[in-house]
Amino acid sequence: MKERIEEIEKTFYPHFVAEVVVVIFFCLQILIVISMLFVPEMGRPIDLSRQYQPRPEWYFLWLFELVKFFPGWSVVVGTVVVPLASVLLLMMMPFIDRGGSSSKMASIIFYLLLVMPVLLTISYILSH
Amino acid sequence: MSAIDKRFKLSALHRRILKKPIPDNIGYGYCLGGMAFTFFLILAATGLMLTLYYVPSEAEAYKSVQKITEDVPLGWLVRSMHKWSASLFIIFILLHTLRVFAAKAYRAPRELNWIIGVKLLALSMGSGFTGYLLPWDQKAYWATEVGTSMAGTVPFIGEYLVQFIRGGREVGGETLIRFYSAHAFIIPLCIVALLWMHFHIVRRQGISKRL
Repeated sequence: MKERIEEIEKTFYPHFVAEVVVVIFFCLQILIVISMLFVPEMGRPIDLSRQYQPRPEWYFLWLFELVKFFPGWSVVVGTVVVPLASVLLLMMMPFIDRGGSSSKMASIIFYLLLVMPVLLTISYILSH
Repeated sequence: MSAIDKRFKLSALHRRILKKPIPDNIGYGYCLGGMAFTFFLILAATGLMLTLYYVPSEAEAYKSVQKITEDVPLGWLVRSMHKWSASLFIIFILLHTLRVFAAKAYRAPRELNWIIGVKLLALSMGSGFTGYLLPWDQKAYWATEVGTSMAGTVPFIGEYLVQFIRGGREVGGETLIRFYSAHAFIIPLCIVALLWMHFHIVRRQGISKRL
């Protein structure tokens, strides 16, 4: 405990408060500028007779793209298995990485989990 | 002042927060989680403002969003801010996740906080999904129709799962109320509970040292 006190001298106040406040205002500034420049428009009222291919939020595009790769009965792999496995793998990271060579393994899995949605999102955007 | 302090112990509380020691080798990368939290607070504030006018019913939802956008003073701005801070919230959670992973800060003894973080990311995406239906327009309806039908592909229980999510066979008024409840109450409450644990663990364990 004594050791810890010696190596840490800075406290939240006054060393970090000003910076935290600046970052918060920076966030607000960006948000307000974007919100005023790009105002969401009203969509059209629901028309059940005219089905169309909707575009989901940008963070779901990869899931929509993923489903295309699994036709027929295997569609469940794209809709449930892969997304669920991705989340579980991500949660398991601390247990996959047990130091040494397993650390490299964890990194490979993590960056694959990162690259897969990015590539699928690009693929979706290019095909629409 | 001392009378108030004697009763509510305010200065003791402030000392604990303000005098909290912080290692001096941390950079601005350590702001990312805090920035995500800032956007969460903005989402909560703008979301509560939207509930003053939004009506989660099949007949009224579209009209109430129209009213917010066109009639309510600054309603368009509040709605715009809610929408954009949702995206920024997700972006900063992802950046925060990258930073934590790169620093290998998920390793013991921080396994539990990493898992809580992944759950927070999943809940945030769930909040985005349920919120997408609320404007009750063409885009919202069909995106939810397609999104919820994915649950129907699960063998054996798929059909029941879809009905549970939609509150009926098709996307309709029941789905709207269900999604409103999830978006405005259930998911935010879960997020607040997990955030409390997330921050509590950080305070107890301290900030992970640089590699």
